[in-house]
Amino acid sequence: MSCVEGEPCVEGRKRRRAVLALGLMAVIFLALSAVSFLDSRGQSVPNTVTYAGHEAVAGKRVFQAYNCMGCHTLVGNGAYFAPDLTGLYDKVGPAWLEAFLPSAGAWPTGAAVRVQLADSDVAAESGVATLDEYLAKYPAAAERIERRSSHASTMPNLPLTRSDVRALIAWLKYTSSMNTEGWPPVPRVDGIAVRRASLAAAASLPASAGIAASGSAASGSAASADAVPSEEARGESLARDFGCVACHAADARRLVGPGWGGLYGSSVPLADGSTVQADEAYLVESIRTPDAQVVAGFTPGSMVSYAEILDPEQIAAIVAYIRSLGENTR
Amino acid sequence: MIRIEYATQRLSLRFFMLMLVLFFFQTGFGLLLAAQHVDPALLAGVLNFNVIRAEHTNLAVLWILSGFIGTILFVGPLLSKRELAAPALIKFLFYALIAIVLWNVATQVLAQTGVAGWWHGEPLLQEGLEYLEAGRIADVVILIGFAILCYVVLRSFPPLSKWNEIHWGLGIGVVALTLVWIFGMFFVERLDLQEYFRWYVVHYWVEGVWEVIHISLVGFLLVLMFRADIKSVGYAVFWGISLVWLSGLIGNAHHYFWIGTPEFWQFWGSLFSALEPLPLIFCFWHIYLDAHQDGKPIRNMPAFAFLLGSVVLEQVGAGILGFTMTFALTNVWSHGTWVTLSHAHLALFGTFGMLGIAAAYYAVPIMRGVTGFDQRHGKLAFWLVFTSMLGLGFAFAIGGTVQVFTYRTLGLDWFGGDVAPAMQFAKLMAPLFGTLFTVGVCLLAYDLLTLGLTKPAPSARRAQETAAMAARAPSRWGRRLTGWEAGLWLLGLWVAGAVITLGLLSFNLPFVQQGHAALPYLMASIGYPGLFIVTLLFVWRFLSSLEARTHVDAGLPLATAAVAPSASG
Amino acid sequence: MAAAGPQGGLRLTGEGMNARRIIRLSIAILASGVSLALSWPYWRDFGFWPESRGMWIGYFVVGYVLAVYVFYAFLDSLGTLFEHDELERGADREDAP
Repeated sequence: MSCVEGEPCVEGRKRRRAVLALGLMAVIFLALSAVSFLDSRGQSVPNTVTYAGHEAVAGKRVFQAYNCMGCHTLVGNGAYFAPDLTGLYDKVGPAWLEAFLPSAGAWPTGAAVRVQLADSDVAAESGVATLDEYLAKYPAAAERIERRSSHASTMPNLPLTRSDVRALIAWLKYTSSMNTEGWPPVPRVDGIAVRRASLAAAASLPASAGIAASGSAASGSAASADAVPSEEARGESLARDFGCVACHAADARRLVGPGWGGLYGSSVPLADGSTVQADEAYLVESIRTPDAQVVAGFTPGSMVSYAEILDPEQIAAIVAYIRSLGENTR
Repeated sequence: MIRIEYATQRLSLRFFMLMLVLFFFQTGFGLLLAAQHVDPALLAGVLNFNVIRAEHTNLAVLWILSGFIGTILFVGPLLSKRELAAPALIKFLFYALIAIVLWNVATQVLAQTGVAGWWHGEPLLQEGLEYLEAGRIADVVILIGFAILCYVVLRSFPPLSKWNEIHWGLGIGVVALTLVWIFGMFFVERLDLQEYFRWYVVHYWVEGVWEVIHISLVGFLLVLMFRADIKSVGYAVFWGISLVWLSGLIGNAHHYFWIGTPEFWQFWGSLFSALEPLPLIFCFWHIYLDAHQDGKPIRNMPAFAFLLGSVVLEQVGAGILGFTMTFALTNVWSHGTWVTLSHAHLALFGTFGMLGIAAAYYAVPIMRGVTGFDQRHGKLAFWLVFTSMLGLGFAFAIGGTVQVFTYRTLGLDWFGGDVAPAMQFAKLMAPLFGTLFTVGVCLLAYDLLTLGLTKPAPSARRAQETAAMAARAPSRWGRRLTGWEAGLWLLGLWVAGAVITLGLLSFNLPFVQQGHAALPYLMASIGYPGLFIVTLLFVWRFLSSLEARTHVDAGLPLATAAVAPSASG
Repeated sequence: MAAAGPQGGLRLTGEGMNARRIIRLSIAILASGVSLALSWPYWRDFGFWPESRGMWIGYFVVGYVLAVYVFYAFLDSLGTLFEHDELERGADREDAP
């Protein structure tokens, strides 16, 4: 068909030429692939990266097991429901991730990040000792605390264990160290300032009445909160500010640590086999020196000491809050 | 053909039915995703976004495969001129497919609690890699399923010396389908290496193997529908497949821009994926020429409408939208945003999904022995899914453009507070068009499931209809579509594509990077609606020109016989 | 795209064949040039290996030649597709009474 009578048929030759070109392309593709993963290129590899004793490869397994790629992207691949995670570790630093990951449903506060810095491993990985230094070193963490810390995030709480969290951070430390050849592009402008300017411009239009109304509603609720709060209410806000709720649920569920619901007054089995009454003294002791009496089934060192972070009055308020969550119903 | 010629062709019916059921559920999951984009709290903790998305993408792959298998089984005996080998194995394949679908739907939910079923370093239950979420157990069963398909196809085909190009295309297609799948069956520690091999499966499947199967099947369906000459179709199939591989082999490099692989891939990937639309343009002209070969009326309009939809959306979704974002210069912006969703939905559903539906519309009436059927449901369903899929593509593209500016140019990475609110308009459009699409899918599934079962074909009414149509003089819109006019429509599509490409390129301009979105927004709001409206009008025009053909021999049943294969050799 | 439309007769003299080949080759060279321009890594440092400019020039040359070939093969086969159409149309007309 492709050959016309009376002319020499060249179709066979054309087809052989196409197959030949294809073969040449395959050779080029394989040769380029072979040199893409040479050590001499200096690309970061996961089996050399650790974070606080956890290996990046272990973090990859956690990352895949929770299908993180089903909402986030990594090197831009995945879903587009949540931010890209490739360079996140370098931007926000390990302490912010330590504070965020155990209870991802809410954005961490500055106090919660400071609590994490009290852990010597985290401080060593961060390379700083105090929150101020941390926020100066990781401006993206400062921005998140400033803008988001009173908001709920859209990420669900995941039942990550402490070693899951650290392995994940090790994995993100590895991805941050990768050379992704110029992606994502670096913004040339302060986006928040641009956004604020455009919002201000929009606010001068009558269409923005809704925003103004919601603003006044917010200030109204703030005013009512000024009325003298009960001790339990103060404890609740402290528990949130200092990131306690990242690991302790308000009901009996186990997140990273034991749930607080019905905890007060119950008898708690300890790791050494003995049992203790979860009274006020025990709860205060557990907040100040968590490793003194570890509950059966939990590993020592999971929680930092709050002795230097909270004063006795604050601890008392938190215990009052725990008590308000139900007594001895277990 | 009015009756099937070989008994084993009937085995395809169950795969078509399964395809429709899976399609329905896949659409349902998609609608849920759109709703969660609007309200992220919806079902949070019960059925998280990542689980629903895994179900949505995996079911998409599985129903498309089910449609492919159905089509291959239906045309296999015609191509071989004998019964299919091992019908018992095909029945087993069907039940295995159902089992693996149920298994995979169930195991994906485990991602919520982080259970992957690690065993000797391999995730047995689910592995949380985009498109390859299935765990190793499912992977192995799927591999066995592919092997069965290969065995059936290759054993049924005539001896190698008698193969024409369609045999070669399908033969290579099913074997490569199986081989490429193996690259996704290993846990890889390095992220760059894992992504490198993940795209072997995803890219070489979609842009290599599936495309090869698609070209072969479209070619053969054209042979069946229009009794086109098998040798010239064979020629088109050979060059279609060759161009797919000549551009797509190195074209895979467009996935290797930013995954940690070296910079030279940016050059190779950009250059060769610029060539990737060529086989699609080739295929476009192929279907145009064959459809206009004879002036005879189309007897099965829904089947042809979906076949045309497949080739046109391949051109628009894979060809044009793929082209706009395939250069490192544009991809650096579009990568990892909703812009890519627009391309993915139109290309995957359009090209491969619509082919399966077209084949079902062609094959189901024949297998059920229906001589004439009410085609209005099918035509309405086509317009519903076609229009709403273009609408979805529009929503994704506009949302993606806003996302690129907010997320990449301004560097705002708070999705809940900055990015999602900016995209709100597009996020609301998605469930809107999604609902319309779902209505179309329900109509489509209902029509095909019950076709020829519920009522005897109202042949009297059909005769009336055709008489009425024959009496109506073709309007200007329904006049014959000449090659020049088709070329102009194609040019129109590509002009819109060029506007979109320039819009994405404009993100590189310094003043856009200073926070001025007007230019890229303007280009996107001209380019995308332009592209989709021209697409819509073109398909309308194409189908009208075929509808208006005088029904001189309307008394005859559906396409008379699959005599064409006998012309091979 | 339709440059090689159905107008071209089938029985071409050697001269007509050559003219067509030159047109197709020119289109292929031009289109590949545009593709190359869009693929050129302007903003990058020609990295890996940065010390080897020669390698990059090799990429550009080989890539360009292959692109010209693919474009040419595309135009050539598309032209034949239209020729087939002409032939079959002619055959249909002969078949018709």
